This record gives sequence, C-alpha cells and structure tokens, in this order.
Amino acid sequence: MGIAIAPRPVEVTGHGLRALVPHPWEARLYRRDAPETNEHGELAHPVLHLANFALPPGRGDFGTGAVEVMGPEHVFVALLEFERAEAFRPLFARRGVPRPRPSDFGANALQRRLPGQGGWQGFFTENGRPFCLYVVLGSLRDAHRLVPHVHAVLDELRIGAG
Amino acid sequence: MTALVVVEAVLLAVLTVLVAGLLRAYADVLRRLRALDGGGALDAAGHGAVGQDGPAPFRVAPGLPEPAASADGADWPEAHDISGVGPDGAVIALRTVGVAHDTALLFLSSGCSSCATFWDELRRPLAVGPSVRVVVVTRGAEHEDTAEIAGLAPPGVDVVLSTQAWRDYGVPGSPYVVLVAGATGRVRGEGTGQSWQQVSALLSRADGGAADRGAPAGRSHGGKPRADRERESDVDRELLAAGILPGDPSLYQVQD
Amino acid sequence: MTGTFAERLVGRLAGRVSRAERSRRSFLGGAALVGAALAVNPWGYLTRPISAYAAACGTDSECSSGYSVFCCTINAGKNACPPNTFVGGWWKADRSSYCGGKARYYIDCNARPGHHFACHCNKTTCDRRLVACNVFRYGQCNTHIPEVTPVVCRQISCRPPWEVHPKACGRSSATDNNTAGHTAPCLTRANTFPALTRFPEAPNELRAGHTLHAGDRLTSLDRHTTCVMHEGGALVVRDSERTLWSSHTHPEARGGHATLEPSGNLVIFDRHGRRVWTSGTAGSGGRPRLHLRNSGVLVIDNGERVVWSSR
Repeated sequence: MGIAIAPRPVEVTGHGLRALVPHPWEARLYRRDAPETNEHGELAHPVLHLANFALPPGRGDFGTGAVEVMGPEHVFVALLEFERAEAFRPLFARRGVPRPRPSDFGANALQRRLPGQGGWQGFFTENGRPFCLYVVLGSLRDAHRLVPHVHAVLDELRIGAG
Repeated sequence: MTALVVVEAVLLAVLTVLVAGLLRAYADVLRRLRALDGGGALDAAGHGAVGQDGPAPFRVAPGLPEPAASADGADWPEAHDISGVGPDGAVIALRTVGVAHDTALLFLSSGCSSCATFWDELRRPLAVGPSVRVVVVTRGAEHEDTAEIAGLAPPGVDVVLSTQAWRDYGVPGSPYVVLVAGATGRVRGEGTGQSWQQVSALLSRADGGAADRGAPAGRSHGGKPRADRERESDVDRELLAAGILPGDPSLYQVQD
Repeated sequence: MTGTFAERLVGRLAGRVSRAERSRRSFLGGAALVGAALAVNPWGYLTRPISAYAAACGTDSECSSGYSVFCCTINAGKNACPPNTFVGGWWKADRSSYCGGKARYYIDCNARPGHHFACHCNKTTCDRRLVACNVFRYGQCNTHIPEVTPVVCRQISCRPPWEVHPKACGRSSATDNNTAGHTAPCLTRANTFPALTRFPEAPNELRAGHTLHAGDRLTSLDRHTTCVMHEGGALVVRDSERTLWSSHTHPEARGGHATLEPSGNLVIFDRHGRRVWTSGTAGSGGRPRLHLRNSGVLVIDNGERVVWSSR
C-alpha cells in the first residue's frame, strides 16, 4: 500500500541560509551560542545538517552520533560557517558551493573513520562567508549512486550575504 | 508364497485408500481456509473467482464487539512531517511520512501538571521498539516559554516547538500521543494517559507488537570493541578480587 | 611475588592486560597503564563509575573506533604537535570534568604538506587510536595552508586554542561532546594547559589626569592580568599564578590613591596627599596613558613611545 500523502520537499531557513530538502531528507539548522558554553570567547556560527535518514539528537557538529547509525544507502551532509575574517584565505579560496564527484570520496577522508563509509571535505567562500562542506556516504562502494542525491540537495542550497 | 503376495496386495490397497482419503480431506481443508480468507470459490482450474476485488467483509455474530479498523489502515488518519524549532533555536525538519521507522509523537506542554510525569520519564530509557523514534512536540514560542521547555527537554530526545504540528494532528490537549506508521504515512494509534508507561502499552496494542520487529535500517557502529570489553572486565575482576569496588577513592586520586 | 600489596596487584593486573604480549616492555607498559588507572582525573560529572581501564584511556580507544591518537602518546610524552606537523584546527567538548567543568579543547596536528606519515594503529599504552589515517581538517588554524592532510595526533588543552596558539588559531567554534570521554594515560592536569583565571572586566588603561582609588583596577584586554590599587597602599599587577609587579608602597600609602598626572608622571599618594612613590616620567610629552598589556606589563606611553615599563 502506498503512502497516504505525497512526499513534499521541506524548506529550512535561518542565519542567511536556505535549504529546500527533498523527501526523505531531514534538516537541522542551528548555532551553539549559549553563553555558558562559549565562556572563553568562542565564536558560534551556523551549522546545517542534512541527511536522508532520521537524524539522532546529540550529534557533534561534523556528524558523530549520526554517522554511526548510517546504512549503506544513507548520506550525511554538514555545512559549517567560519568567521568572516577567514573569507578567501588560502584554505577558503574556492568560490561557490562545491560539487564533489564520486571519485573524490575516500575511506580515509572522514572525521571518524568507520568501515565501509566514504567521506569528502571541502572549504569555500560564498557571498563573503567562509564555509566547510563535509559529506559522508554510508557506502563508499556505492558513491556513484549516492553522490547524485548529494548534488540534488546542494542544488537547492542558497547562501545569502548573512 | 501365494498367500504372502495376497496379504501384501490387500495391505497395499488399504494404504492406497487411506492416502487418497487423507489427500481429499486435506484439499477440503484448504478449500475451506481459502473461503474463510475471502478468496471466494475456486473455479475448475483452481484459480480465484473473476471480478472479486479484495477480502470479504468481516462479520460477527450479534452481541460480539466489532474489530478495530481494517488491517490495511485505509481509514486511518493521514500523518504529517514535523517542522518547527528546537528549544535552543535550531530549525528542525524531520520526517514521519514515507520512512522506514515509525514515530511516536508526544504532544506535551510546560504548563500541564499531567505532563510532568512524561517529562520525568523521558529522562530514563524508554520502553519503545528499536524502530520507533520518539519526538516531543510542544506548541510554538507564541504559546510556550522556550526557556522553560529548554529546561524540561531531556537529553537524547528530539523536542520540537510547532503549533502547526498540533493543528495538523488535531491535538485536543496535552499530554497526547500519536503513533505514526512511517511506511504508510498514517496514524496507527493515538490517545492520552497518565504516564509514558501507560501510553506505551496503548501504543503497543495499536502497533500490534510490530514495534518489536528488528532493528531499524542502518548498522550501528556504537558500543565498545570486543578487545576493550575484555580488557575492562579482566581489570575489573582483579580489582574486585583486591577489594577495590567501583567508586573506591583510590581510583580517583588526581595526578599532577 | 614479593612487594607491597599495591605492587602485587599492579603486577597481576599488568599480566592480565598484556597477556597476549610477553615482552618485558609490554609488562612495564601494562603496569604503567594500571598505575595510571589508579590515579586518574575524577569523572566528577559522570554519575556512573567506570572500569579502571576505561578511566585511563576513556571511550573509543581502539583503532576500530575511528579516532586519532593523542600527541603525548606518540611524542615522547609531550602534549604538543610533533615535528613536521601543523595545527590544522580544533573542536571542543563542553562541561568537561577534565577541565573543571568547562570546555576541553582538542587541537588537531595535521601532517605538514610534503611530509609523509604512514597511517597505522598505535600499539603503545591503551591509546590504541589511529596515527595519520584520517585526512580531515577542522579549519580554524593556519588557514594560509590550503591543504587538507592526515591528522597525525591530537593535542589537549583546557585553555582556548587561540591562547595556546596565538596568531595561528581563530575562534570559530566546533563542538563534539561525543568525544568528551577520550583520554590517555599521558594527559595530566599539568600538561593540558589549565585555563587561566579571568579577572572581572575593567578598563585596560588610565588616561592622564585620572586616578585609581583604593579597590579600583585595570584589567588587560584578555582579562588574564589585573592591576589593582589596594586599600593597603600598594599598586599591584598580577595574573592567575603570581604577582608580576608591585609598587611596594604598603603600608605607607594605606588609604591612598594612584594618579597619572598630566605631566605623564604616575604618582602614589598616601591618605594625606603626600607623594609616596613616582615613576619619574614627568615631562614625557605627548598624550600620556597608563596601559596594562596582555603580556602582563604595565607601561606608560605618550602616544609615540613607552616612557616607563614595569618590566
């Protein structure tokens, strides 16, 4: 029997970011700016998490807590902003949201190296704002099949001037 | 010798008759079962009746209670995905429709006295199946004190402030629980209760025990590696033999 | 086996831990592990006691867990980036019992571009995590280096990375509380850069013609150094660990005050208005100001040059 309601994309906006996530992707857009956890003067910036599976609570900014429950068909995307002074620095010299190819992913390009998974990380500047984009595939072997879904999500990502 | 052959022939005939009778009775049983199953009478080729669409309506004798909604859930309410804001201001979009897992939505508030038990129980391990995701939904910031919700929100449980979700699910008040079947995108059960324990029993009945079906999709890399566990239990055994129990002050001396 | 009870216990435990390895080095390593397990930092914010082994190296301490080793484990005990690596970025775990309930910072040491480190699993101590296997970068530090290279090891600090590595690390926060339980026997309170005291906010300079009365203070911009005019009469500069400078005008100037005169002279008066101490910088010209620097040095400058310094 099919689904009662046709799946719809969902929009999340905030902090000058906008993502239109297709079904069955989920999204979280947050900024950890509680004074009691930034007592030394840390600068809190927006973090966007996108995934085609149920995102567990209690995740690290680069996805721990979520990557451990990923199956071979799952994809996790994290977008983290940095302070404006870093824009266009050599690490952030690339302009525009990158589109990683399947061959760009590696088993060692992971924050937390887990069997079977593949990761890719890229730094860039968009609209004067420096970011890191990090993608984890539940199955590196299926990168050619999973990466188009990543592109579809990134195609609907908009980064404003902030 | 001739007598022996005759006896064997007679026995063989009797067995043949018995086998034929058993086979006929078995066929008869199958036919009756199919009829009870709503398959209708079989034609000469043994196929189902042409033009019949779906099971025959279930009937009960007068005086007996009717069963619940039909098994395929066609008359169950439609479910909705949840969009809102977390107590910490995070923008949240989570899926309940067309996903592999089921979702138990707990509609709570900060002001209702009977919600307090739920908030407390959520801080302990919940008795839900492994493929059921628990999400607390309160009304939005226009109705709730976000700081108070943040104080009540238990770690490890999604909490979403969403007045729209309350409207979508027609929530009459709090506490209220809705179980959504992810695969069909329909509500499988809903109601209220005095505690999560009570509600989870209701959910279990609505779910038909399906909450106990296997682990959700996706492998978990959590838990300690075997070598870690073995070493830890070895060390713990020796410490115990030496009379050093968990919490012994000697285990917590600060080294500078 | 002879020796004290603790030694016999340590010996039995060491034998258990290193049962698969028979060498003397592994026995000593095992004994060291247990020794560390018996003297670890308190897990005051955890409600559940843990095994001694877990206390020494914490959670996810095997290579299969996918995390990188700690620098002190592979760098001769030094909680610092080894040669041919650079600080590539950092993250924090909040409310860490290892840092007095405040943030604990994990600073990644990435392989310097052009330098190869073989990916392998560390086998020494219980910190059996990965060395140079995860090609990943947190990105707040040394952003003039564009490459993403393998993480060789992790440095630990209770002090923010931009204070431990000034001019190298920015403050853009990344948080991962799932790593809060990671540790290693070589990490101690002393070598993980205990957080410095932060004094109350106050101006960091005193302009000409203005006065510090008893109880008034200057605070450096980073709030780790303060200059207080004490009721007892002394003007004292100190940080969280020690006194850096004093006018030594206690008790002669008891109840007095310190004034930076328009001439550029810093003067300490007693309660009767008598001069007890001066910096001798009258006539320095310009626009004098008394300034407390982050370095802990108190200076008088005239807008062009320093005319007096406490150090």
